[in-house]
Amino acid sequence: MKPNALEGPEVIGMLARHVPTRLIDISRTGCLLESRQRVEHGTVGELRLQVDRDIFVDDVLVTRCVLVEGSGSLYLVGAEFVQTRRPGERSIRRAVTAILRGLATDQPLRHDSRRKIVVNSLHSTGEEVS
Amino acid sequence: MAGSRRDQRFSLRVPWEGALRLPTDVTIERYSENEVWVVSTTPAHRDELLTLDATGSGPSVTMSVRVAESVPVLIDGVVRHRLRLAVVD
Repeated sequence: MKPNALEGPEVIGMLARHVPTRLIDISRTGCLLESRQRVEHGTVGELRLQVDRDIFVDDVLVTRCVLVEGSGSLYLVGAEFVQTRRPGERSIRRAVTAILRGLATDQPLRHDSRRKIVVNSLHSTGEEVS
Repeated sequence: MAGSRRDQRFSLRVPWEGALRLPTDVTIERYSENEVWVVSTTPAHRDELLTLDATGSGPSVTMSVRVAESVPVLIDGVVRHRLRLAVVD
């Protein structure tokens, strides 16, 4: 960093970790992720997903993180979408809503059918998916 | 919970790959051309690659950094972590 890049009485910063994840399941309000790193309950972060060539982004609140027994260091991370902003063009919430709407009406997608993306639906019973 | 248990969930045939970006506020103690020293509430792993957004009185600066050192310190009776970060770009 150039020494004169930051000037002022107080220099503050934001340090960000990037934790690789895989999306296991999703609803309109939250999702279940798989991660090789533990993520603390209550952590707020930005979830970025790549779907084909598109990238979708939303803010999430981590609501649970459990170690998968016998997996070494594989964690299941439950997260809720933080709904403080209107979903943008690249919003995960918006993409999911579009997919689910397509499932209901069975409309075709540009590249793939929504039924190929989604394998099955899980009706929530209050039990966690594991 | 914001009603997630009430919503129908869908599992994916092929899991989508992605990343969680987890930000933490830090206080920047000092910096040089190649290194930045910050105080954080959380430790970091040596050689971990992170992104630092730094803001002074001017526009903010974003840089990729590598953790060179993470040492616990006691500040005002509270355990914090002093990180030495090497600028990588």
